[in-house]
Amino acid sequence: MALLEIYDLTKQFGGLTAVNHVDFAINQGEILGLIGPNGAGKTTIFNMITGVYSPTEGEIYFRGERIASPPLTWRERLSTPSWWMSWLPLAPLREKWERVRTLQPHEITERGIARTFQTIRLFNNLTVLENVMAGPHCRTQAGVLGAIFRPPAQRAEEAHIVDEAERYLEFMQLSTYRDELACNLPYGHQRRLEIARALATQPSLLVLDEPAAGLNEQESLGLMALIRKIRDSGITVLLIEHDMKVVMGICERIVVLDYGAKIAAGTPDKVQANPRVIEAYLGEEEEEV
Amino acid sequence: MEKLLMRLRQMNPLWWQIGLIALAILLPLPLGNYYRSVLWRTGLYVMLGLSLNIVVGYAGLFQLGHAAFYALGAYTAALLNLYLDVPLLLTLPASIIVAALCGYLITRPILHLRGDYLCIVTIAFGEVVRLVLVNNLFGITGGANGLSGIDRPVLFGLDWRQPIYHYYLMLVFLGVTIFIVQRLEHSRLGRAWMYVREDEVAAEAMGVDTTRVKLLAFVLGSGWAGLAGALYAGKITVISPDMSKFMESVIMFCIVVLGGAGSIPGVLVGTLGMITLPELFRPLKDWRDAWLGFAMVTMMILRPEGLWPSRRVQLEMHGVQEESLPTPTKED
Repeated sequence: MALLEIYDLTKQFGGLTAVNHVDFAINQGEILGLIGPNGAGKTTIFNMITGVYSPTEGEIYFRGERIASPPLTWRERLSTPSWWMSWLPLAPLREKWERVRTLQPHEITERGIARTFQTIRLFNNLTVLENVMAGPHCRTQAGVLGAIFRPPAQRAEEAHIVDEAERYLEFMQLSTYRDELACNLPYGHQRRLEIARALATQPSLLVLDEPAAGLNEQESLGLMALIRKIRDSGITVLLIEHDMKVVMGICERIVVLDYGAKIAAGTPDKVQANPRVIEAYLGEEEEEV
Repeated sequence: MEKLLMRLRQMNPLWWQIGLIALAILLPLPLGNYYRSVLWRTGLYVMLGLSLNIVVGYAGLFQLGHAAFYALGAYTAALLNLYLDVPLLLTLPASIIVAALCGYLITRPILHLRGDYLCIVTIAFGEVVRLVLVNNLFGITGGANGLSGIDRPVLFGLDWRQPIYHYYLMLVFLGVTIFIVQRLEHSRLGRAWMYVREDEVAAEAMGVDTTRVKLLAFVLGSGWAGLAGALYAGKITVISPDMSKFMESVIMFCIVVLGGAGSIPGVLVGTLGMITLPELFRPLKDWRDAWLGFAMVTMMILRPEGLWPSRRVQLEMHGVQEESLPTPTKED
């Protein structure tokens, strides 16, 4: 079974079809590239995987569990008994409702999909360490009482959060900037910090939205090495990227989108030779590669 | 002079705290009853400011109807005391629970609103509470006249008509409040509030349940305002729907914003400016609204982060580099 399966995914914004009946799957432990010209619907798919949008049609399964499907209309909700009783603390009823409702982005993160943003969205005025400490948040549970009385369990948890955060900083080679403010980091480091923060949520699938955008040649190479290192540590990577050098260099498989539809899929060599892909890119990118 | 300031800054913050506590305990002793009452009022508003600070300062949510929860707490205490003869100090938990519950019920459906929209709804809620109380809900809230004849607290057989005992009672609760608020700030929950304030979308994507976290801020803030309301009812013994006036909410909001959102000493400074000063210069009291407006405008131009800001809010406002910050202390 594939790690993430996408079936017949469609998203319409009003009359515009941004994603048109796309299916593909991501296997455990691979680096999959999702490419396509501007406006091809890459980021829309991305947002449906991470729960920001819900699909108009189609479903997404993560480790066999449905994480995205068209939201229920009010009429459907009202005619679903489990919706009426979802507030009751009755486990079977809640489970039934859990299976049909749409998940919030934080719930998807909890299930093991972490993301980065195309335009960097760090917590700018917090330190680098504090940024990464956001990651373990969904794996810990201290609440109001824990905060006030600070029992040993809560202290241990706090120490654990700091340890984890430091571990991921080390992994992304950012340890020296531990106490810097995130906004003071150079651009390339901010990109890495965002990945560190996403890794700290302990995902099994990491979804990167144009991680190489704005990086120079050398930084791109460094990034490629890091992405490989992440994959080798057992995390599957879905990469959305414009930079063909990066995509062709590290992806094992590539899915190509154009005008919301999947036009090709396969190994980098095959995709590069595909006439429809060449046509979609007007041959320009092809020459570059 | 410069050297003195440097020395003061390098001093252990513990000394500051001990000094401040000693001052708070000793200050009312040489003063008359009027000034003792002023001190009590200051304490009351510091507590209200700290409760609102959780919502406005930590979670970054606009709340301009905070006085409603203050009034709800006071009415809960008064009703329990008048109709069921519950001693005032025993009504305090009920006041907290009622105010917190109302905070939950009111904010649950409006949490997805952002910024100014949320602000407008909270203003409306404050007015709704006031009008419900004026219209004598269930015939028990006493209409526009409010409720009177509430018992004072009974403890240690002291004469609770003396303001000084109320002041010390307030001081105890204030100490507890500061302790709790400070611990909340430096916890997993406090960090989650910070993440939401900084970037809600990113916080949600990192697995922070933003709805829950914002709801907790509202519930805790409202509940604590309810406690302040009950303490008010216990000293003044007369309460009226005016407690939930829009102006009250504005004053609380000003205390937080003028002092410095997200900062505990800021709330103290804000209360001195908004409550204590106008109270000390009685003749100027008619000019209080003008003073409020003047202070707000001046502050927004000269120092939008507040008089005693938390390090972070100051950064959010100015984006200054860390090196150029005036206070090198690590604590906020």
